[in-house]
Amino acid sequence: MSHEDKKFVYPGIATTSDGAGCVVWVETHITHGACAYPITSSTTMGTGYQTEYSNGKKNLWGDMLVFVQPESEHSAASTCEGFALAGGRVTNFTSGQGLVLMKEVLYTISGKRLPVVFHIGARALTSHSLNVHAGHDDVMSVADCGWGILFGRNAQEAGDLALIARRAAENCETPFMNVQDGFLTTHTIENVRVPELQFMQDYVGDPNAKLRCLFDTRFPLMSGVVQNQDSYMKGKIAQRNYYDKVPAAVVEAMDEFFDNTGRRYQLVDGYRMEDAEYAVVGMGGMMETAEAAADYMRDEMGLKVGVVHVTCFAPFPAVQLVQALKGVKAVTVVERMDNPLAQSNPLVQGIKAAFADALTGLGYGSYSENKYPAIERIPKIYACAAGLGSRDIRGGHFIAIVENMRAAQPKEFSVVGVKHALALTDGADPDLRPEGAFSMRGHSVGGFGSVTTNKLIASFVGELFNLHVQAYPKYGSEKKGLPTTYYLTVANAHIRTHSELNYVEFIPLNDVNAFNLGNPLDGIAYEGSVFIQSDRLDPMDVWSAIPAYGQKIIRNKRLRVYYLDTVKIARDVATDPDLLQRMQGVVLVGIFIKVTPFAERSGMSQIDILASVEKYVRKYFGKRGEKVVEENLRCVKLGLTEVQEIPAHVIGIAAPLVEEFAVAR
Amino acid sequence: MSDLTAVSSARQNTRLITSDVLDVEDFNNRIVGAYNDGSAELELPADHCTARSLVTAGSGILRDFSYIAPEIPILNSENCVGCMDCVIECPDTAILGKVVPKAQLEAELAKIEDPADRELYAKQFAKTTKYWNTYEKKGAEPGYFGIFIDPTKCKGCAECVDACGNHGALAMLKKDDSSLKEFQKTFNFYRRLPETPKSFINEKLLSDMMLADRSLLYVGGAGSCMGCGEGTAIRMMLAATGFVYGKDNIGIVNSTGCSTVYASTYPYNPYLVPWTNSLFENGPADAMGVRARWDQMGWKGKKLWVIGGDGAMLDIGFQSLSRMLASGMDIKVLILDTQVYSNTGGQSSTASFKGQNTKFSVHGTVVPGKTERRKEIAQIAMMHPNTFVAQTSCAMSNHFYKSIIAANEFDGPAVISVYTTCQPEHGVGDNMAMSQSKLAVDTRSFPVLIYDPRKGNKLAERLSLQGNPAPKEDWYRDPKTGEVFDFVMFARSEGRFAKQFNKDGMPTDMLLSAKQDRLENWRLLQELAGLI
Repeated sequence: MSHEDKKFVYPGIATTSDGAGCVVWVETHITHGACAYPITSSTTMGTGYQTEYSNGKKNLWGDMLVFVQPESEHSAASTCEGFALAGGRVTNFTSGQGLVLMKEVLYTISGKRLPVVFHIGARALTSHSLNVHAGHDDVMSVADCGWGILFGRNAQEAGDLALIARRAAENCETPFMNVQDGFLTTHTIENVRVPELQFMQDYVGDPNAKLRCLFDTRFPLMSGVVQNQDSYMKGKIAQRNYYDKVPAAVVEAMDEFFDNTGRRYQLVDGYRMEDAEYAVVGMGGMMETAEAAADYMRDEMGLKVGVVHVTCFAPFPAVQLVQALKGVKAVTVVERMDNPLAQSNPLVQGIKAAFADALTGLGYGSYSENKYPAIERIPKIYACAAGLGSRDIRGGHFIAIVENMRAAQPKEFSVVGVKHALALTDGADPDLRPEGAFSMRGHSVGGFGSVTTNKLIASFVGELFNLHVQAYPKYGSEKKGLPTTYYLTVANAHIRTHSELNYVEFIPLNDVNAFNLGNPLDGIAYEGSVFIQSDRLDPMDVWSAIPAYGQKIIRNKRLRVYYLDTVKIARDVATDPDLLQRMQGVVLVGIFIKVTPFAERSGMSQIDILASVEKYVRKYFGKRGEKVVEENLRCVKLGLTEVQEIPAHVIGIAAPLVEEFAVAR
Repeated sequence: MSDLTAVSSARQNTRLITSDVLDVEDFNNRIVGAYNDGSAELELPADHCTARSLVTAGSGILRDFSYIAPEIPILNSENCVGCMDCVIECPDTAILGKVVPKAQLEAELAKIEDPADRELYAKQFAKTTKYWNTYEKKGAEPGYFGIFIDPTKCKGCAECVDACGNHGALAMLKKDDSSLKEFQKTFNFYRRLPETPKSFINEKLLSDMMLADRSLLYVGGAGSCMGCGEGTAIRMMLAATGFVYGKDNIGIVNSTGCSTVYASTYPYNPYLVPWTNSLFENGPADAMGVRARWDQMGWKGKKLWVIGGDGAMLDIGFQSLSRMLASGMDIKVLILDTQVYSNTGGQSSTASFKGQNTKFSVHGTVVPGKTERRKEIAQIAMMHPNTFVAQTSCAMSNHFYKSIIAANEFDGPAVISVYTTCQPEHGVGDNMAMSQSKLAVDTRSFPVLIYDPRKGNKLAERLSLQGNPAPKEDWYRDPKTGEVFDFVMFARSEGRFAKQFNKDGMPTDMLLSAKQDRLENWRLLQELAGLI
C-alpha cells in the first residue's frame, strides 16, 4: 500500500478509528440496511451501525437505514437474503460460531447471486474450549460457500476493503466476506483515512438503480426452486459463468480504488520479495508484524527475507502466489488455525497445489485461461500455526520461522508461541517498533474506565499531534473487577507490529495490586515513567508501599514515578453512582499530558491542549450527556494539575551505582 | 414513492431482470417446452437459465397431468346449485366456476358452429337459484353458472365429488381419448369467456371469491399428491388475500418442505405472485428481510405470507418463527399442519398425535407409536405480543377465509395453522382431505379457534372457539344417533392409528391416553376462551 496524497482526488479523511469503526463508516453510508446478531468480536460493528440507524441516518442516496436483529446468525443471514432478494444493499457483521452457524445460508445467498458483503471479525472456533479472540478457522470453515473472501491487516484496510468488496460483489454478482482479525483489528485504534462521501457514492453507485429486485410483485418470479437429476448439476456448473468473472472484478475494484485514493491493493501483496530467498506468507494483521521483522532480518541479520500477504483468499490467487514465490529457496505459510487431518492447512494447500500445477504445465481457471509462470522447481513449502485464539505473535517468532527454514533439518510443520514438540525455539525478540516510538502499557482493572481512556488518548494524540498511534486493550473473557492490560504506541510512522508490548516507556498502574500479579514494570525503558494510583499524600509513603523488587527496577532504570489518588478524584467529581468507579480511568488523560513528552514537543500550552481534549471527551462520552462530559473534563484537568512525582531523593537515585547503571543500559 | 417513480422503478427493475437474468418468453417456450416434450434432461444446456434457476410466474399452467389419473369428474349441471365448494376444495385448480350473463352466454354459444360442441358447452351451465332466480326476481339480468374441469390439471382425486356431496352434481368418469378431448374443448371455451362480472360476486359471500380472477393466484401444475390437503389451503389463502388486495400486492416466502417440493420443482411454478424458498428453518427470518426492504421501498401495504409445515414451524424453524412474531412485523404465516414430516416420508414431528404410528415413532412391540403429547403452536403463538392467531380447517371454508381476511387486516404478525390431510402418511383415501379435516375439528383432535388481539382486553374476549361443535361440552354428541365424536372415533378413521385397536376393535391404553391428551387440550382452550 502506497500513499501519495497529491496525485489522487480522494486521499481520504484523516482520523483515528478501529477496524470496526472503519467498516461502520463505509456501510452506514452505502447500504440500505444491516441484519445482524451480536457475537464477539463483531458486535462493535453491529452496535455502530445500529446507533446510526437509531439516530435516523440516511445513506448517501437518501434512504433511511434499516436495522434488523433476528434471533441467531442463521436467521440474520436469512434476513439478509430476503432483504437482498428484494433488491436491498445489505450487510452483516459476524464472527466465529456465528459465521459457522450461518454457513447453510451462505450457500443459498451465493446460489441466488445476491451480492451482499458480510464483515467478519475473524475468531477462533469453539472446540476443546471457547475462545473469543482472533483465529481464521471460522473463515476457512466457510471458504467453500461460493463467496469472495478478502483479508485486511489493519483498520485502514478493513474499511477500504469494505468498499472494494462491495464494488466487486455487485459487478460479478457474487457475495463477499470482508475479514479482519477479531479484536486485534476490530478493536485496535489506528490512524486511518476514511473514504470521502463523494468517492463512496461514485465508487459503489446508487443501489436503487443498480440492484435487481427478484421479489417484485410487479414482475413475479420464483427463486430457490427444487431440482433433480435433470437440472441441478446444470445449474451448479453454469454458476461457473459467474465465478469466472470474479477475479477480474476484484482486480478492477482494486485498480479503480487506487486510481482515486492512492491506496494500492492487490490480490497478493508482496513486501521486499524482489530478491528474497526466504518468504513468509499469511493473512491478516500478523503479516504487518512480519514485514517489520523482515526489515530487521535484512538490516540486522543480513537475511534476504520477504513477506507475502494474501489479501484475496477467494478467488484464490494461485498464479500471483506462484509468481511471487517461485524464486525463493523456502517459504513458510503461517496460518491462524490448525486442521491436522487435512493434507495441510488451507492456505498451504492452495499454494502447494498451485505450484504442482505450475510445475506440470497446467493452467488456472475454469478454462485454464490463466497461465502460470514457467518454473523448474518448487521451493520448500513449510507450514506454521500461530496466533490461535489471539496467542501473541511477535517479531521474534518470524525470526524463528526464518531460522527454521535455514536450519539443517527444518521442522516441516511448526508452531510458535507455545511449548510443544512442534514449537520453534524462541530466539531474540527485538523491538520492532518504528524508531522513536513511545509505548504505554497500563495495568488496570475492568470497570475502571481504562480501556476507553486509552482509546481517548490514542484519538487525541493521533489527531491533535499528528502522530501515528495504535491502541488496544488485552481483552479477556471475564467481566468487571479483574485485571486488564491496555496498550498504546505513539510513533512518527505507521506502527506495523501487532503484538503485546514488551518494550514500553510509560506504565500506569491503576491497579493498586499490580505489583502482586507478576512484574508490572517488565520491559520498561531506561528513564521511563511509572504512574501509581495511591491514596497516600506523602511521597515517602507511596514509595515505601512499592515492593523491594519494584524499587530496585525503578532505581536501576532511573524511572520517574508519579502518583495521584484518581479514585478520590472520581469519587469527588462523579455524580452518577455508576460512574464513581469508571471515572477514575479518565484522570489518566491529564496525567498522560503531564508526564509524556508529546505536549511539550507540540509546542502547545497545556491549557490549549486541555481545550482541545474536550472534542475527544465528547467523542467518547458525548452520548451520555453534557453533565458526564463536564465531569470527565474536570477529571482530566485534575489529573494534569494534581499529579505528583516522587522526588529523586526519596527514590534514592541521586547517586546510582555505576555497575547497576551499566546493567540497566 | 410517487406513482411516476413507481412506474419508472417497475420498468427499471423489469429491464434489469429481462436484460440478462430471465427472458420470460424464452423460458416458457424453450425450457418448459423441453420439459413438456421430454427432451429437457438431455438437451437443455447448463446455461444462464439453470445457473440462477429462476422460474416464470405461473409456468405450472403449461404442465399436463391428463395422463396420470384414470378418472375425471363430470358435471351433471341439473344438480348444481353454484355453491362453489368443489372449486374451493380442489387442491389443483382443476375445477373452476364462472357466471356468465344470460345474453352474453347465449351469444357466445350461438357463435359455435358445431351443434354437438354447442350442446357440450351448454351442458356445463346451470340455472341456479343463486345466480339466476334471485337476479331474475329483482329484475336484473340473470346469469348462467358454469363448472369447468381442466383435464391437464386434474389428478383424479375426486375431492370435488366429495365436496359436492348430496348435491350430486359431480361424479367420476373413466377417461378415454375422446372424452379427454371434449374436456379440453370445453375448458378452452371457459377460457375464452370473460371474467365473472362484479355484479354476480357477492363481496360478503366468501364462497364466491374464487369467481374473481384476482383470487386465482395458484394455477395448478404442482406435483403434489392427488387430493393433497395442503394445495387447497394454499389456494384458499391466496384467494382470500388476492380477492381483497389484488395480485400485485402479495408475496410468498416458503420454508422448505412438501410445499416447496411439489410447488417449485423446476421448471413448473403454480404461483402468479413472487415466491422464494431459502431453507427449511428460516422462512420467517427470510421474510423479515423482504418485509424490511419492502417497507423501505414504500411497500408497506403489500401482503407477505410465509408458508411452512409443522416441521418447519414447530420444530426446526420454531426459533425463527418466534422471533418474527415478537418483531411486530406485518408478516403472516400459514402453517400446513400434517402432524408429520410429510416431505421426508412421514417422520413424527412435535405436532404428531400421541399414539400415532409414524416413522421415527414406529408402533413396535415395545413402543406403541408416538409417546409424547402434541405441541400446540396456536397456544404458543398466542402468547407472543400482539399476534393474531387462528387454527382452522379448509373444510370450514367460511372459518378459513375469515381467518385469512382478519389476519391480513391485522396490523402485525399472524399465524394461521391449518389442519391439512396428508393421505399417504395418515392412511386415508385420496378424496378424504376435507372429510378428515372436518372430523379432526369435530372430535377435538384439532379444534378451530380465532385469537384476535383487537377484540378486547381479556383473553376470553380475544379467543373464540366458534365453529367447534358443542363448544361448552367435552365431546360433541350427534343429537340423532347419540354417537360421541371423540379422539377414538377420529383414530378409528385413519390408518395411522390402526394399531391402537385390538382384534375386537377396542382402543389400547395408549389411545385412551391420547384421547385424554386431546380432552385436556380442549379444556385448556375452553378455559382460555372463558367457556368453562
